[in-house]
Amino acid sequence: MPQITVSQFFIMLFLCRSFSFFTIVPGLRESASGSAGLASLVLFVVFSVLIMLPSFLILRRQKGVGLIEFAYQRSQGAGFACATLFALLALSVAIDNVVHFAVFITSAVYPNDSNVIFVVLFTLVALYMVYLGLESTARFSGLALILLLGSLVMIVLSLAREFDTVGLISPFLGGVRPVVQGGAVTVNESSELMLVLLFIPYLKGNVKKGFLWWVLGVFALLEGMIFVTLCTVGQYAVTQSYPLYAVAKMARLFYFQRMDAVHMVIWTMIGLIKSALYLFIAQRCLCFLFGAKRKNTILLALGGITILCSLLLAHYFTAYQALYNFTLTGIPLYVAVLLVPVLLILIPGRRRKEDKA
Amino acid sequence: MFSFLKKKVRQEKRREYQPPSPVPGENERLVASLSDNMIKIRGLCGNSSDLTDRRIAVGGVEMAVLISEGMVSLATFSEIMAEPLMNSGLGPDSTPQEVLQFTRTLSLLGMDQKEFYTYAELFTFLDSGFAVLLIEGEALGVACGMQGFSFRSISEPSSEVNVRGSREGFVEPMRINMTMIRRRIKSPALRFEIMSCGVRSKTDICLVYMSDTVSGSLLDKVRGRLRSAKLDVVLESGYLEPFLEEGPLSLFPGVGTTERPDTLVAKICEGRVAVLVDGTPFALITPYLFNENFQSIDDYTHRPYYATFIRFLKYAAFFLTILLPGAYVALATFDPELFPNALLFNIATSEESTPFPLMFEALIIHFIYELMREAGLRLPRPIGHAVSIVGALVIGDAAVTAGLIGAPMVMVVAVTAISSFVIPTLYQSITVLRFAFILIGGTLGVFGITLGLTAMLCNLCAKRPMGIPETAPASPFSAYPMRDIFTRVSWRTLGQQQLQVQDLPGSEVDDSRQ
Repeated sequence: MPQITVSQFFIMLFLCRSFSFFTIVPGLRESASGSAGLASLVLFVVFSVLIMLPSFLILRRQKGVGLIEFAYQRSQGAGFACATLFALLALSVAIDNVVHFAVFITSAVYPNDSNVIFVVLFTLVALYMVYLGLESTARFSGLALILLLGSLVMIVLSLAREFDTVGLISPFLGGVRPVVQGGAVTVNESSELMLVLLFIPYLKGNVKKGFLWWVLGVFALLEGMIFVTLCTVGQYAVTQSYPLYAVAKMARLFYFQRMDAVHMVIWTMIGLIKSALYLFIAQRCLCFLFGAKRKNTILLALGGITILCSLLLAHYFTAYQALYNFTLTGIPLYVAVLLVPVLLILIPGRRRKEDKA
Repeated sequence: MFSFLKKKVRQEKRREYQPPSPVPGENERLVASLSDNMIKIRGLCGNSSDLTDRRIAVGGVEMAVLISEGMVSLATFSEIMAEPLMNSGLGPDSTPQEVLQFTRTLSLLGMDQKEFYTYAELFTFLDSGFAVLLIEGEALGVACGMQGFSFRSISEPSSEVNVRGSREGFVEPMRINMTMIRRRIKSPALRFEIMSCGVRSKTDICLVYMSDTVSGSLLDKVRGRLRSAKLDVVLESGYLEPFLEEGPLSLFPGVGTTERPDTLVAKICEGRVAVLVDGTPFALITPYLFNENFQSIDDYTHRPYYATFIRFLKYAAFFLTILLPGAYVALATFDPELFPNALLFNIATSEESTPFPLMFEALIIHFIYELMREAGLRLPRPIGHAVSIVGALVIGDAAVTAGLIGAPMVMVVAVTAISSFVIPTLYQSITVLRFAFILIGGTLGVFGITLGLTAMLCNLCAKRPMGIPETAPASPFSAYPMRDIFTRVSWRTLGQQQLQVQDLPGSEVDDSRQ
């Protein structure tokens, strides 16, 4: 695994996390909407830290070793299972990302165009980024972050005259349940948490500090954008399929009447970074199984599977909804982040007892 | 069929570089007999008309003086070689050893005096402007440097013009360039290492570096790569560039060039290595990072606020020149609603009367522009101004009046062209990228431009010239080196600590000194 700095890694994760906020797909989320979303993000911070604590404590003892290498040290079977699991999870997130992208662009931006060209080209560029290596994607993420923050500042400044806090209502108006549920769903969407476990030993710098900055950064970004959305379009945002895109369409700056092109450019770049990162993880996990010499063949195969599955899921939207709702339950995330590290620690404990016997 | 193609490709790859065979007898040693040596020399060079020899007797011992016509300064030859030899004071019964001893220690026939033993070395010295002495009874020769060949005088560099600062540029003879560098750094840490490159041309190349600044591993890498360059002839520094680059097929250069001694000196003081090549005024500098394309010597002579403004202008010009035509085509074709109303009406009115789609209009007009630019470069100066007249008439007036292209497109071409001249070092990349983005924008719209831009930036981020990230210190980010990237802070701050390339974030170059 290539070495990258903690800041580069968490910038990539920050961008990955912001992507799902840009492309909220209608009818798929039962999360808190409107003002309740503002409060649920506080719970997101708390839940994220609580979920990662056990894994941090476990892996703190295994310095210089990643989760999959740790599994191989326990047993070959455990390593095989771990690599397969994470490869499948990473591939599924990459496919989900591409489907998100395709559905958004063909419903909101180019409604008369077919999915195929977008899916194919998007995946090809993501594959090229994986081919160039993780370090180049990490460096590009730094540039993309500046573009993201710059574009958000532009959009916010251009909407400043439209601000009206009358759209803000009490987050607990619907009770506590929507807030708690929203916090949980926001965490369940954060597949980036499993990446932290895979990358910990390969990061140069203080990982815990970086993780906290990431959580707080995501909180600040989502909180700020929800606030801006509510203050500009109010509760009408709840009825919009893509509220941030709607806000960008309203934004006007100097002579530019709309800022949705800026939104689309930034969101495409971020989507590519997310897809490239997860495809890289999938490739890396499969290299554990099939050997590093076949990495280009593995990459091509992953690309083909991604394109095929994305096209099928974009076409059979009900199936995609079912899969996505399964992801939102959090089961895949908790298996990867909690269950697997705990099981790996238990295995040697059982072996030592067997050896003594 | 595929196995046949694979076999063909393997056969092609097996054809490795075969160095040219030396001329028979070239590597033989000189003999004691002067006549035999002269017969051999004439035979090896085919009695070439520019080889001039003269037999003289010094102290009763026969000697031959050989020069290549036009390569030696005859005045210098007369003053420092002919006169001392004629007035040597050696007796008529002197031995060849005494005559040799006279040339070695009792006379100063030239500061650059060397002894050699083979015919190959003899020809190398002759072709480098040395006068060669052969002594009867001695199986060696003495070469004395007294170059007098004509060369272009030192003038302002044509490719790097500046407002304030030195007007000197490198010239073709490498040793003149070395003196220009030495005059600017009066320190023993400045080192010149001369090597030979090119099996047939035996071109002199010189590594230039500061021994107290450069990284030992970087220097070893540069040396190794230059030594591994298997070339027949080296006529220009561009022949050696691919050997110093990590990915020679990349769009962006990983090796810089300069015609200015002051620029070269500034670069080597930051731990870089420069390569001078005899016969060309363009020196190579490695490693070369992306942000250096936007730096010039004027930035360091102007006031900081103005230098910062010019830097931002250059970065804006780069993105403008590669993206403006493609973005214009993309927006006008796929997303015209993004234009302000007044501009949209103007564009629609002008495009209403043109026969071609916007993408083809852009491609045609940019192609014509590139044709004229290339013609302007190659035309003889007396008729070069005709290109500008034709350009103004053809593009500026006739094409628009005839309704072939719209007036907005002419504006786009004009802005694009002017922007590209702001960063001349990136002109090759800019030209290719511009056409690529026009094609992408015309077929895939803003979405395609975003994909292309992402791929281009990732390609840039993947480059590591000599182990240093091309986009450092912007990404990986480091605040301290950023003082001279997008901004240029005052010399009071810049002068406090010298930044070296091996200190940049993400650098794999160690800090070991020579």
